[in-house]
Amino acid sequence: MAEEQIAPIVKELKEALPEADEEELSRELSRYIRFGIVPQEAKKAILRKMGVREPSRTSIGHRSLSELQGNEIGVEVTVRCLSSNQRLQMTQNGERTLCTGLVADETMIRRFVSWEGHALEKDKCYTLKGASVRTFRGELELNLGSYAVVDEAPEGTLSNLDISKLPRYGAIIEVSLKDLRAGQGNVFVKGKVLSAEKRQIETEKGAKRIVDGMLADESKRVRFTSWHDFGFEVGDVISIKGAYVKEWRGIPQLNFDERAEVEKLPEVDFDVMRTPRLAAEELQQSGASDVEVAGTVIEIRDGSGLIFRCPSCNRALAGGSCTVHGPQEGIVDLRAKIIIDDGTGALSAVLNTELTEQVLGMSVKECETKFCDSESRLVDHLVQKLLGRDLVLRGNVMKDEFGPSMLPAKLDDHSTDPLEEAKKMLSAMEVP
Amino acid sequence: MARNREVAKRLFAIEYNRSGHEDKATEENAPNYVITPLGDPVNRLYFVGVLMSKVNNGTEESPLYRAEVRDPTGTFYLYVGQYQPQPLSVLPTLEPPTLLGVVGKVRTFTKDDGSFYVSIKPEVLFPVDIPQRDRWIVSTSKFTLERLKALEDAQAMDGPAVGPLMEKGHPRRSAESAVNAMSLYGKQDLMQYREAVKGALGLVIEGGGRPLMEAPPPPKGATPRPPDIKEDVFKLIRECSSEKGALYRDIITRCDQKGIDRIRLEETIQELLDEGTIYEPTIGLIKVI
Repeated sequence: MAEEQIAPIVKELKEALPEADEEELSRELSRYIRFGIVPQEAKKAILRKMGVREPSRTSIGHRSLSELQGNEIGVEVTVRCLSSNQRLQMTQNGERTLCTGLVADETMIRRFVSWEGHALEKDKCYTLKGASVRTFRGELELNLGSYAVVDEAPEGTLSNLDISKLPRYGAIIEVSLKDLRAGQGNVFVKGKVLSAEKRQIETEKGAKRIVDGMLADESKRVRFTSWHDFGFEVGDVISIKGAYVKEWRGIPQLNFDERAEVEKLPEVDFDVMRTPRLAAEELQQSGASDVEVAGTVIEIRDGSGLIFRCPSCNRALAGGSCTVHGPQEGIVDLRAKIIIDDGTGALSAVLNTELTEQVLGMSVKECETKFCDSESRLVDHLVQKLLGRDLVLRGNVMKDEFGPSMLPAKLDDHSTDPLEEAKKMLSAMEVP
Repeated sequence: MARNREVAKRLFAIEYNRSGHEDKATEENAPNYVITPLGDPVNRLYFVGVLMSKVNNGTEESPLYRAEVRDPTGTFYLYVGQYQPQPLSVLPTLEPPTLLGVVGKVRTFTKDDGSFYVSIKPEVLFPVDIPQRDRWIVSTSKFTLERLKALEDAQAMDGPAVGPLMEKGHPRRSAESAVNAMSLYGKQDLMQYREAVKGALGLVIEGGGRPLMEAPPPPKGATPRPPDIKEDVFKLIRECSSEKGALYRDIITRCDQKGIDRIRLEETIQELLDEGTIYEPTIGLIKVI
C-alpha cells in the first residue's frame, strides 16, 4: 500500500492519540493492511485497541419516528422531549444514571432510553444523532448509547407540533378494570358510569369542561377523569379506547382526553349493584376504590385504643407531642389498627372512631370513663372483641411500600352460611 | 419494594403434617417456608381446631408448653415459650377441650437421620365458635381443593408447567403449587387429601353450624365400639423400638401395613401418652417407659 494512502490515516490517528508515537502507529496500521483490512477499518480497530471510542458512526441518515423499523443503528431524528425521568440503575459496570421518557415528532410518539448521561429536558427540542433502535416489550425504543450525540435544536424547531393530534404512545391493550395498572399508556376498557360530575377548569388554552366520576364493571370500580366532555351520562355503558392510567396512593385512576374514542354501548350491561369483592393478593398488586375484603382479623397492632390527636392538624400525638405542632393537650379519639387476612394475602386496616365504637359496642365517652385508669384494659377488651373475628370490610384500599392498607367505611360480620357452602362443595366433589 | 406481609395460609393438619421439604432462606431476614405435599409454600398459617391437651415441659419461671390442636383431619403440634407472649398468656387460662383459632409460624425439625418434622410456633390464639370453625373448614377446603385439582391435572401431564396449568383454568397460585409438588414429591396418592376434605365438609354438615352447647345428643342404643387396638399399637411400638425409642413414622408405616386407621392410631397413641405407658422424648420419637 502506498505511503500516501497511509499517511493521512496516521495523521488522523495521531490526532485522536496525541500521546502515541507516529512511527509506531504507522507500523501498526501496516500490519492490518497487510492482512487485507481496508485503512478505515484498520483505523477503527486501532482506536478501539488503544481504548478510544469512536465518537460518531456512519449515520444512516435522518428518519421520522414513524419510519423506524426496530433494528437501525446510527439514526438521526429531530424530536421534542415530552417527558424525562432520571433514575439510578445497577449494571454490570456499576451504577449508572438512566434517563428515560417520551419524545415526539410530527408523526408519532416514541420512548427513549439514554444510558450515557444524556439528560433530555421536557419540552425542549433536540437532534439526536447516532441513536439505535430496538424493540422492548413489544414497543420500538430509541437508545442513546456511547455513540449518540445529543444537540439542542435551534429555536423554532417543531414549533407546529401539536401533541394532542398524535395517537397515544404504545399499542392499545384491552383490559378489565381489575387489571388496570398505573403507567399503562393506551388502554381499551368498558364499564358502566356510576357517577359523572362535570366541572369547568381553566387551562392555558382557556376554559374547559372536564368530567370526574366512577366507572365500574363486575370486577372493580375505578375513578376516572375525562379531560373532554364526551356527553355520556350516569347509567351509560361506554367503551373507551386510548385511555391512560395514573395512580393516587396506589389506586389506579383512569384518564382520557379528546384523543380517546368513547362510544356508548346500549346493548351491553354490567351488574354493578354489588360492591366488588377482591382477594387480598389482588390488592397487594394494586389498590382500589370502594371494594370489599372478607377475611379474618389475625392481629391487633400497636397504636390501637384511645389515642390523643393534635387539635390543629389531627395527627396522633406521640408522648403528648405532635410532630409538627409540639406538645399539646390533645383531643381523645378511638381507633383500631388491624391486620386482616383472607388466605391469599394480608392487608392492614385502620378502623375509624365510628367503626371502633361499633366493634366495642361503646362510645368514646364511655370508653374514657370505663377505662380511664387503664389504657391496657381497653386494648385487651378490643383484642377480645376483634382478634380472630371474620369480617367483611368495605372502603378504599391504598397501596404504598408497606403494602396495601384500607380505611374501611363499613364493617360487617361475615354472614355467608357455611352449611350451604359445604353442601354445595360436597355435592360438586361427588361428581366424577 | 418492600416484601408483602406473609399470608396466613389455610390448610388442614393432614397436609401440613405430611410435609417433607422446606425452603430455607439464604438471605438475611428472608422467610422460611415449609413446602406441603400439595406444593403450597407455607410460612404462616391460620387454623381452627380443638385444644386436646397442653403440657408444660419447662419450668414455672420459663414455661415451654406443648399443646395439641385437633382439626377434622389430624393434629397440629404447638410449642409455646417465652417468645410467644400472647399465646403464653392465653394458653394457661384454657381448659381442653376448647375450640381454638391459631395463627402461627412454621417450625421445623430435622433429625440426624434426616427425618423431618413440622410443628407450629403460635403468634396468637383466640377462642372460636362453631360457625367460625365451619367458615374456616369451608375456606380451607376451597384452598385445598384448588391445590388438589391443579396437582391432579399436573400428574396427568407430561412435564407439568405453570403456563399450561393456568390455561386449564387453575389460578397461578395453585398451578405453581402443583409444579412445586411434582418436582419435590413426585407422584403421590392424592385420594387421602380428597377424603380428608370430604370428611371436614361432612363435619360442617353434621354439626349443622350449631353452637357447641347444642351439639346433637348421641344416638340412642348402644353404638358398636370399635375393637380396642391399644394392645396392638403398644406391641407395635415395642417392635419398632431401638435403644432411643421408636420413630413415629415407622409406627405409622407398620400400622398402615396392619390396616390400622391413622386417626385411630393417633388417638391410641395419645391415650397411651396420657396413661404414661409411653412418652415422647422429642417430637417424632416414642419411647416405652
